Amino acid sequence: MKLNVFSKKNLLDEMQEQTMCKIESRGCHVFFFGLTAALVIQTGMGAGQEQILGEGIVLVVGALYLLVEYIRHGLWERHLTATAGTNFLCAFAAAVVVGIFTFARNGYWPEALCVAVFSGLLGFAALQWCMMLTMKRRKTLDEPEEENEDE
Amino acid sequence: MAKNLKMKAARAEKDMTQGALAQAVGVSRQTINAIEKGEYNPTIQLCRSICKVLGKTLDELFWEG
Repeated sequence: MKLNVFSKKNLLDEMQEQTMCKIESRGCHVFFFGLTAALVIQTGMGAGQEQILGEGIVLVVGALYLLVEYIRHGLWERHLTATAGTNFLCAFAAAVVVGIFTFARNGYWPEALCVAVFSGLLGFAALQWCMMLTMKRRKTLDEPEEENEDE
Repeated sequence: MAKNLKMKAARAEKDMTQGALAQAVGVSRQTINAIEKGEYNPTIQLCRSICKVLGKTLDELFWEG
């Protein structure tokens, strides 16, 4: 009996391929936000760093992969405009969440405020830097030399 | 997206089933069904393959004039 388990050729047609990509994309989001939620819950319940190290590494590696690929292809957000104002709002929202989480865990508001402010500043700086790299890359991709028609 | 009745008619003219057309152009029957129902927007390569098999031009099958 001949076993045809693996084929180098893609066995899906273009519509099936697109559908599978959509499913994988949604799955990626479920894993990404699920892992983030798991880390937040574990940290909130007092888990030590060594207990969340594995999930943390997976999350950081996944996030870095997404970030590098988005920048490499000059892709920013689907719905949000690439402006400093948008980045500020996103960083502010993240800072509020981090501040609330820190206060809920430790119950000491000056610490929560400091953590929130520095998280916001760091987040804003990171977003601005990534946006700048993405726009620069997009500009490079948008300006390839046109092929000579005579050739 | 509107139903592609022109493609359905051209396929019927050739007396082909969705399965036969799918096999001829190298896709699944569900893809041909989705194109005819207007649920999937095929690539230009697939449009050209369908046109070749059905003996029609791109305008005749896919142009909504």
